[in-house]
Parts: sequence; C-alpha cells; structure tokens
Amino acid sequence: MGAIVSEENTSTSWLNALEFLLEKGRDVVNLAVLIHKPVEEDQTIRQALDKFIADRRADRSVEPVSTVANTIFPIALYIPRLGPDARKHLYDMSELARPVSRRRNRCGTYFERLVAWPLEGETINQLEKTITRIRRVLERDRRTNNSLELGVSDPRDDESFADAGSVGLAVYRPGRDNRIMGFPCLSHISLSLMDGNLHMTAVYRNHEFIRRAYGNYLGLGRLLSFLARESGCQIGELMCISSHADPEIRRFGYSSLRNLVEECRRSITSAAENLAN
Amino acid sequence: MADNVHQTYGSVTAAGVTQSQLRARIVAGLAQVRAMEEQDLWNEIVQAGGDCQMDSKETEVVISILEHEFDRELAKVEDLEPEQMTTLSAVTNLIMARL
Repeated sequence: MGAIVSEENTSTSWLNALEFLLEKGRDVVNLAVLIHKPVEEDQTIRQALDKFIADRRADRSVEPVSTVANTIFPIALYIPRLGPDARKHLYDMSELARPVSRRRNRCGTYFERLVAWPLEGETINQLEKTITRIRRVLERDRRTNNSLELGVSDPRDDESFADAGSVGLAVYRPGRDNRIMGFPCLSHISLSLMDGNLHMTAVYRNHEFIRRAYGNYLGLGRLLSFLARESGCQIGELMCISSHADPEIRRFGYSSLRNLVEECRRSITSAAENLAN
Repeated sequence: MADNVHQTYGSVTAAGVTQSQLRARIVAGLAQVRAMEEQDLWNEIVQAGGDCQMDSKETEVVISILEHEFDRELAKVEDLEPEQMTTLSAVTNLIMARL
C-alpha cells in the first residue's frame, strides 16, 4: 500500500520516510516523498547519516551521500558567478571528467544521461533543451502552463513541447536498461512550471533508503535549483516517488537502523536546545 | 606561486616529475575547474595551511587533464574511492604513485 511523506527539507523528509519504512518493517511500494524546500538540509541529520555510512565503508557499495548526489548533479562543477558561461563550464568540465568517472561508473551516471543522452551517432543535452523550453514559456509570459506528462521522453522532440509547461527528462533507456537491480534506478524526471515556480517529480523503480535515497534527494534538489536558476524561475517542490522502497533492513539490521533514526532525532533536539540557549 | 607550499617535496617519479611539480600541475588544473586565477588558489592553499579540500568530481576532471598532459592513465578504478580524492595532498600522493 502506498504512502506520502511531506516535509520541509531534504533531511527531515528522508528521516520521516525511513522511520515510516522501519515501522512497516519491510519494503513498501509507491512511497511518495514531497520535499517543500529541496535545497535545504538539516546538518545534524546529514552528519549522523554520514557517520553511519563512513562506519560501513568496508562494503564499497555503501557510498558517501556527496558521491551519490554527484551522480545526479556535480555541484562543484557549476559555478554561478560565471553568469552566462556557467552552463558551458559545467558541461565542458563534466565531459572532461567522463573518461575517469566511467572507470567507477561503467554504465555512466544520471548526469551523463541528462547532458549526453545516447542516440545513434550523437548525444543530446536534455538539460540545455529543457532550459530553452522553460525560457520560451516564460518569455511568452506564461508563468503557469498545461501539464504534459511524458512517459519515456525522446529528447529530440523539443519543438513540439515548446509551449508546454511540463517537460520530461529521460534517464531509463527502454530495451537497453534491463537489469533488475542497479543502475538506473531513477527512471524519469518530470518538470512542471506553476506560477513561476519550477517543480520536479522523479520516479525511482527501486530505491535503497540508506545507500541512495538521501543522496538522490540532494542531487535532485541541486538539479532543480540549477534548472530554475538558469531558466529564470523560482525553485518549487520536489516529489520523489519510489515504486519500490527498501529500508535495507537485511543489509544493515533493524536495530542499527533504529539507532540511526534515534541518533538523528537526538541530534535535532540537541541542536534546537543549543539554539534556545 | 608561494614558495612555502613546495618546501617538503623532493621525490621524483619514473616520468621525471617531482612531487612539487606534480602538485603545481594539479593546482593549475584545479584552478581551471574552479575558473579562478592560479595565484588566487595558491593564496587560498597557503591560508589553509598548505592543503585544500577537493570535491571528488573536481578530482576526476583534474586527473583527466593530467592524463592528457602525460598521455597515460593516472588513476585506476581502485584509486577512485571518494575518500582518496578529498584533498590536494591525497590526490598528489595518488597520482604520484601512478606516474
């Protein structure tokens, strides 16, 4: 049975979703997590998760949050002070990094698919096309527009979507990405413009809540922030739907995950008390 | 470039590159990634006590730039764990071992 978790920032959203999964004590389907301010974090929660992960890095599939977030949006390569050159710098630097990045990520990264979607003999930069589409909508003074849902979008179809307030970013390649688990777990990203705010919906076919979810939320929030800034609108909400959400109880153990949640809760309380004093 | 940043490096790789020369090339690459003047980055490094934090994505770009310069692979998959790519010193040691 599905559920919706709605919270203010990335950290509390992840924490409440994890707590919900632990209460269920098992995997669930159709878990929707709505993050109202997707670029904001609670550092006390982040630190508790970072420590939990660092203590378990002997298993190399357990990666730091920042590493997971970088697969969606490599924030260090985006330098807003470069103004109109910031996007070109981001794309150029990420292309330079690709041969090295590919040694660890043999199938590529999500960001690679967003800026270099593979087609026969060419690649398409979906982000650049998306920014162009949103700017066109805004230039026509249409701060809100009809929703257009794209299942598995073809990035070449940009002209027909020029008037659309919603656009899709393809990540999953039908017929090619046939692994049951593993990359790509993120299937699709949908964007909607409403009252000048850019909102994002992301769909994961399989979502591991310790090794991936927090970093995924963070990376998606940064991607949304980039798209909003570069297309001249405000950052809206992030909705992340996990078709299958896994609390990873078998891998990490129920009690250690409960302890992590309690540690996060204690950290929040402690930080609040420090602020009050 | 600030002299005190280089004072402790003397070893030479098989490619005939000293550690301080390699460090200088890494800083040049990092300045390119950060779109800033090399001298400004050196000043930041000195102010930070002779080292600087690097994001793993920045490190991947720098390694790629150096691989073009030296025309050889400078990082194997086992070198690319996030913890090995977080500081200028760590990245210098990592590449030094492969040069």
